[in-house]
Amino acid sequence: MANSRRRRRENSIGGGGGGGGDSISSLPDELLQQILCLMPTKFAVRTSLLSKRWRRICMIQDRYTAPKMMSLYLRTGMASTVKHINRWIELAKSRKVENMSLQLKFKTSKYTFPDSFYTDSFLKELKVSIFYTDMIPRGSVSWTSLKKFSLSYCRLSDESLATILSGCPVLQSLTLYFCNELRVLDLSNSSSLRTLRVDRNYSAPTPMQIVAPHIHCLKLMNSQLPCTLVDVSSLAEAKLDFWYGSLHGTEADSVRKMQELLEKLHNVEKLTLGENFLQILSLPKLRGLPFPVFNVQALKLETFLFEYVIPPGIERLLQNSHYLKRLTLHARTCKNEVGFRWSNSRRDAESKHVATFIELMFKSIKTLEKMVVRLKDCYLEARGFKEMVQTLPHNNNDNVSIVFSDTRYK
Amino acid sequence: MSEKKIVLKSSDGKTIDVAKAVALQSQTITHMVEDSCVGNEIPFENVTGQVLAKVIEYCKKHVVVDGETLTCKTVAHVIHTRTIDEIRTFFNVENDYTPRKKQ
Repeated sequence: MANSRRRRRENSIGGGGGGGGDSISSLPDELLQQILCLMPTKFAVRTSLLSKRWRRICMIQDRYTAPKMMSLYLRTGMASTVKHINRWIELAKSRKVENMSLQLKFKTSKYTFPDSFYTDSFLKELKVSIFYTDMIPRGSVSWTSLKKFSLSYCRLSDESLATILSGCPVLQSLTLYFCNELRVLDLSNSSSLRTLRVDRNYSAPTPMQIVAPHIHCLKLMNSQLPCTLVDVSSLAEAKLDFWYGSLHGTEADSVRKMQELLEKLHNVEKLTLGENFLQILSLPKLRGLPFPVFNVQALKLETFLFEYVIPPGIERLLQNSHYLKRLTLHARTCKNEVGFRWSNSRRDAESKHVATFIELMFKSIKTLEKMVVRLKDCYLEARGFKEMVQTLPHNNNDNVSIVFSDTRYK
Repeated sequence: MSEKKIVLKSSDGKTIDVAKAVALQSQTITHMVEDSCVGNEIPFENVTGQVLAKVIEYCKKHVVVDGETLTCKTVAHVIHTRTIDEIRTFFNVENDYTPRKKQ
């Protein structure tokens, strides 16, 4: 293929490094650099092996404007790299990078972000994991374009977070993963913030308060001391769970905390409750828990499908959801009353459990329009499943549709 | 490589600065440089500024290799997808590295 395109020419002596009169080697450096800019750096750098001249060309970077650098992803734990991190950050800033992800896991050496890190008008998404150290901006913070901020494992204090947030006027999404030093998360001045995600450390010893009057969407993973939602007055969508299916504290304490939590959630239109949350709602020590009336329209429950009974917490939840239109059950396996896991060979019998459970659900909900049951695909393929579906009560109620889908798709 | 720039002047008085090496990709400009270069400025009496700008743009994006006019993208594609040896053969690049002495 190459031969048919090439025309042999007499070699000229000297010139730019060998080759014919108008071979590639006679092209000026500027053009060769421009050509190298059109491919990934890895391949451009390879050309330094061609000849000494090509090596020289690879080295010169400042002649042409480099292609736009979109994001910086930096992940290191080696102490020897600490001195280079600031240079990478400066490079990203000079290239107007919009997306930065920095995972810094230094066990002994400490790393402090330079002051210049906190001023950047191009950054739109920032993700920082900074193990064992904290992020303390010494001066002011100015991230005027930042829309998404995610911080993990950081020993961030309330004051540091407040300083950071005051420099992010257009922040829309905040994620805090295992930031255990926070006591009060005050987002009242973050008027653009719509999505908040907080994962507390499973052994977090002290509770946390959340003041977030503007957020529409909350995802919360609680430790055994649940967070206090002081103000979530704009909340429309929430997904909550606990790391464990138990609660610390006395019966009176637990009832009070869960009551407060449920009160704050009663206006949420789209609510997802995880396995452990539902298990807690059914704990004997929460027998006396008063349930508010829920305005929820779409409820998603991650739960086991019990054979003969709906857990009391779920039952009461459904009884207090007078406007529920769509219910999704996300089930992984079936359980009998004592909580054994059925082995795969009992799949066929389990389809009856599904039927019973669904019938029980229907008795509890009057307004339901659609129920979605998500099961592992092995159940959907089980013998007898299709027959079971025929027996479901939706035949009596034309307005309700029941959909089965497998758990691969969220 | 030097910073040698030349100035191209169009019929309507517009001037364009361009690196000499890039401009010389065009045969026409090369002839003009040889024939009527006054200092560093080359007049194009029958070419408007707009056209001249397009020509320079073309020069920046096309190269003449072995008598064929190729886009820079094509050349880049060859470099991207071939091995070093294949690139050497295809573009007739002489390897002027001395081999490392074996110990």
